Amino acid sequence: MRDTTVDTEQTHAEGVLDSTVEPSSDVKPILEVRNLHVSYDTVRGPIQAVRGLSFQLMPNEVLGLAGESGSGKSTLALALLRMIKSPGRIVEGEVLLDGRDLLSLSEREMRHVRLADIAMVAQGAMNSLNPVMRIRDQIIDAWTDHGIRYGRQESEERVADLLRWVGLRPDVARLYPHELSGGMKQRVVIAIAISLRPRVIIADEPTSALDVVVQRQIISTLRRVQTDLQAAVILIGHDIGLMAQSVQKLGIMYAGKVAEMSPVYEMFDEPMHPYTRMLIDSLPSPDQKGQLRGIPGITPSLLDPPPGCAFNDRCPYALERCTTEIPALEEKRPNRMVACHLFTEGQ
Amino acid sequence: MRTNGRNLQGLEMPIEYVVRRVGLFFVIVWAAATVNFLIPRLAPGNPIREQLLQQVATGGAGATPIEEVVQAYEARFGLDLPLWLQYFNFLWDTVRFDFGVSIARFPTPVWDTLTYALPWTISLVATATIIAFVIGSLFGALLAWPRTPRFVHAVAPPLLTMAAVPYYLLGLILMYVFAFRFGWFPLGGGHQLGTEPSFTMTFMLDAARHSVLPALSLILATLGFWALQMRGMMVTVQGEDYVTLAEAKGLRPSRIFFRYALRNAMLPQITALALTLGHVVSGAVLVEIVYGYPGIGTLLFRSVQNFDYPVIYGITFLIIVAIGLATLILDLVLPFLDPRIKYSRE
Ligand SMILES: Nc1ncnc2c1ncn2[C@@H]1O[C@H](COP(=O)(O)OP(=O)(O)O)[C@@H](O)[C@H]1O
Ligand SMILES: [Mg+2]
Repeated sequence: MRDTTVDTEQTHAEGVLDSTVEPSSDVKPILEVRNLHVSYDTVRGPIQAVRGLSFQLMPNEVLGLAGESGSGKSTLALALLRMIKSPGRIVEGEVLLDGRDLLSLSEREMRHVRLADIAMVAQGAMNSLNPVMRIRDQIIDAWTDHGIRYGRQESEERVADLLRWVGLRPDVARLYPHELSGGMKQRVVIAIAISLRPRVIIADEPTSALDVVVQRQIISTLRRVQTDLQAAVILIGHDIGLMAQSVQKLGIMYAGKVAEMSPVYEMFDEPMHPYTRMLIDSLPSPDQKGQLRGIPGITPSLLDPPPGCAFNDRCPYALERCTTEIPALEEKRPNRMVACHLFTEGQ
Repeated sequence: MRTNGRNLQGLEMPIEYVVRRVGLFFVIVWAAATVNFLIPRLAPGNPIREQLLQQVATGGAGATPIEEVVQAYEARFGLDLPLWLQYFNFLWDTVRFDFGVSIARFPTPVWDTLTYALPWTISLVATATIIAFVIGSLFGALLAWPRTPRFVHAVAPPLLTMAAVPYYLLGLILMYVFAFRFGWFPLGGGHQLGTEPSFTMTFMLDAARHSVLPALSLILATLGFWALQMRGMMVTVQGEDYVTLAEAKGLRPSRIFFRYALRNAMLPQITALALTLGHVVSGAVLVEIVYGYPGIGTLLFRSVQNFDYPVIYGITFLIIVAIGLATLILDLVLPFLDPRIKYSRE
């Protein structure tokens, strides 16, 4: 397969760790999640995949969400778009987009929020495009259903511009998905995601099916269009090494909750939550090559989560309190949100 | 702007492919003809005489003068000729649709018995198959679609139960209720006794009235098959990432249903439909017999009863040609429905 990628990445690849958006009082979050609960009803009872999750996303911010598989990342992503399928359901909470609660919108209104306001770059790069439709038609049908109609000539041009924007040759428009490589397909998915200039882009493991080189290209393409659009991005992944290089702020998820959410530099400098510390310690460092230290213990059952902190049985510093009282996510230090009883506020 | 035409344009069908595929069809037809030639000759002794004697023994031939038939057949097959010459004569006959004469209805040519029964069967079974396919597939797709209204789900159990009832039994029940009890439809046959098949309005209407119950039996009995298969495919397809992404694109539910889910779930259904349509010419033996319908199914049944081998071979040949034709059409159409299908031979 010929790669029709235009190589524009090198120039952009470096500027990944640029300015951190300082949350000042006059900037309102573009997306705010409050006490979100999502469960999957099973015969054995509800699996509480997301349990009282809250966070804020600032305009133009790139927020990473990392956590082991099963920690509820994809469930959260789908819940933000209100795309949780039965047996799953959003039990309670608020998802505020620019102050408007998405959970109270009608299905019809919500449909127009998708892609136009919040776009998704989905997990499976290999299978995200309809195999029987040309790329062009898969870009244009979204416009049509959002009430946007261009003449033939103009829509061709817009498709071409869009493809060039994500580093593809315009003639990709006439191809079918199976004629593209994995990286090219994921670029197309990004092109679709940005086609209506959304304010929030949710990328759920956008590189999971790709090889390492392509992974970096895709991440930098995503960062480039994010900068162009001035959109806020939630980048979901389980590789915190890769995430650390791509985002400004990183949220660590554990058992359906955020354990810690801090600016990346500070988190790696001084991890606060014991889980974060163990995750960062388990990363292979240059001096002890390939030495991956696992974290002892297993994740708790989401069917019957423990009454206190979900991490307490794996935590070497657990207090008496940790087994009974769920720690709230609080700003323990400036800009650092931590859900742990070991820290007292402002200390 | 045609850069590297065939690579970029998924739908361009190469001529070599069409030629190769049509060639394959003729190979299939030739093989079928050869099998038809060999089978009677593999039996020890003179196949014609043996068959006729068998028939006399079972009393099936009745009034037909046996010796006359034997002589006619000896001449017809030229059984005294060398085998290779017989083979070429046979192939030449086949090319001209000359399958010999029927034993049970001597001296009617086999071809005439086939062409009399074929339109009946095609109009009944093909129509019923297509109706069952369309309704069944749509229904199955709806069953797997989360937005489908409740009442659709309520229709499912009885329909799926009906799929488990053998269709001749269903035929008998329908006949009892609607023909015998209520008298809304004729009890059987393809048309009013005493009328001759013609393309007049009255005859067509009469034939249509006769085909309602047999068609209904076939439709009701096969609907469940299509529905179940489609439901299974739709469930699979809805788990695909492209359906999730389609929803994330904010597409209208109807577009997601038709263009993303149904469109992909349909591909295996089309293959099954083509094969089923290929089998249409074999008739729906049991339904045709229950209703005394003058189609291929009834013809096949009677021919087997009467050891009417020429007709049986004729029908066998017809079925093989029809299936060959159906797969040929399928192979020519499918690349247009599924761009992933490759033309190369691998
Ligand atoms: N359709 C479903 N039915 C039942 N449980 C589910 C379903 N989808 C996800 N879950 C459960 O929800 C939890 C979170 O899953 P997920 O959001 O996919 O995690 P992640 O994306 O972080 O790997 C897991 O325990 C998973 O088993
Ligand atoms: Mg996931």
